[in-house]
Amino acid sequence: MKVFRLCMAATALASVLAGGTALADPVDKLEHVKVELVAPPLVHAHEQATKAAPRVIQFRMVIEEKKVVIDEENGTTLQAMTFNGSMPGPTMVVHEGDYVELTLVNPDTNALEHNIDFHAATGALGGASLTIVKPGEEAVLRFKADRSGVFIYHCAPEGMVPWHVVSGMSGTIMVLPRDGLKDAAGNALHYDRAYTIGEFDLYIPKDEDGNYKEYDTALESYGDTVEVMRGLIPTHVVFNGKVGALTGDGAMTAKVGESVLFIHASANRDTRPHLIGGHGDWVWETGKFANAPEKDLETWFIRGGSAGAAFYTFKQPGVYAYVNHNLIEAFELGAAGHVKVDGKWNDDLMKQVAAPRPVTAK
Amino acid sequence: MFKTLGIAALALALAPFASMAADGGKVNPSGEKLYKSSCVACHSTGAANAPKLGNKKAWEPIIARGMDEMMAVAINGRGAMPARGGTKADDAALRAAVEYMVSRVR
Ligand SMILES: [Cu+2]
Repeated sequence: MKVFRLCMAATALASVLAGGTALADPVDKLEHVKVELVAPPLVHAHEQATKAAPRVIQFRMVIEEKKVVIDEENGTTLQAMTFNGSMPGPTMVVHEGDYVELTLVNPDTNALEHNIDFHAATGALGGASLTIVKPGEEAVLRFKADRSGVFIYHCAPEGMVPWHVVSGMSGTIMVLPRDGLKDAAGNALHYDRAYTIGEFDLYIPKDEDGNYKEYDTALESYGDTVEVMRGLIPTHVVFNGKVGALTGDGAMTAKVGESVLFIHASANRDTRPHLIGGHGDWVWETGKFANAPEKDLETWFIRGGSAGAAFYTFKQPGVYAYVNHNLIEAFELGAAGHVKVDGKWNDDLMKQVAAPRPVTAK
Repeated sequence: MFKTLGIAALALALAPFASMAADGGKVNPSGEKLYKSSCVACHSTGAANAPKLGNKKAWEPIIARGMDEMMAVAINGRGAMPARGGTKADDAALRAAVEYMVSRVR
């Protein structure tokens, strides 16, 4: 099989860029702010509209390779690779014009080399060629977040990009406009909470008896996994790392009258989110806030390799399902979660006029 | 088994470019198996600057250093190469995988 390689004189590039650091960099003088990341589906506290001047927002992520259970009912495992131990990696939030400064740590307990490619960044393969870290190394990358929107970040080590991505190494950065989100008419949209959903297409090999295989290390899973990947049919499609991660105790919550921003990212494969019983009031399905959002969507579409965002104000209580509306992918392969919503039922929007009963005579 | 491997290693050290397959065809099949399950991740594409399978130019200087040196790298790792190639394979399987990779440089 012909495998594509991105041939790039990474070392040469790094030395050219490093040459610039000898001069005073005006960005060094900007206010620097450290932000602690939180595990998905939560998003760290942040302002929406802001009066602050552009700043340097500092994040730190630690790469963790580990075996995870992706389907508790069947005990199926994945030799996962993660940013900060979670699938997806944590969502970072900054404002347009800020600088993102990430320290990427690869502890010596890992086996593999990693890096990071930010779709929000410009140059050097998204930062990938400047952040190649072996186990026991770390690197610091700074880039200007000069475009608003939700953007993927993912690992992209030369020669084995798809494997690292489908093994869990992706997440989202949200670059908010400095004056916050707007609807199509330019009216401000303020959300009360934001949730981040990372959808993962997984390719778990099976043995001769049809049982999912388990491996001792990530590299031992490589050869078989690539064979499944080449078939382009995932064995599982999950939100946030495993079947049912966003159900039960893990369900997202909201109240009637609250507005929620659902950030949905899929680094490798297309998906089509839908909120059963709800809508997308305002949706940026391509995820870029300088474009007017679409209104009243039933189902939206996230291209593989992108993130999108949907704004919805809940009007009815109950348990909603948030799914990939290829329903096989949702209910057979795992791409479904729940939103538990408290509040008062609205009979005007919906009313059960007659409960199910035997058919009455004409 | 031990004898075969010992001879193979010796032959390798003395005649770096000899093909292992030429050695009576006694290639341990577990080597190719381990290569195809794990080592292939880096050695098929040259990821992380790994010497590519079948690339004579890349392998010549490595083979010239001898089997002991290659096994030391395979067992302990070096640079981006993880210890035991990131697997739980035993020394015999690792040696077989090294021999397989060497045999593919003709
Ligand atoms: Cu990686």
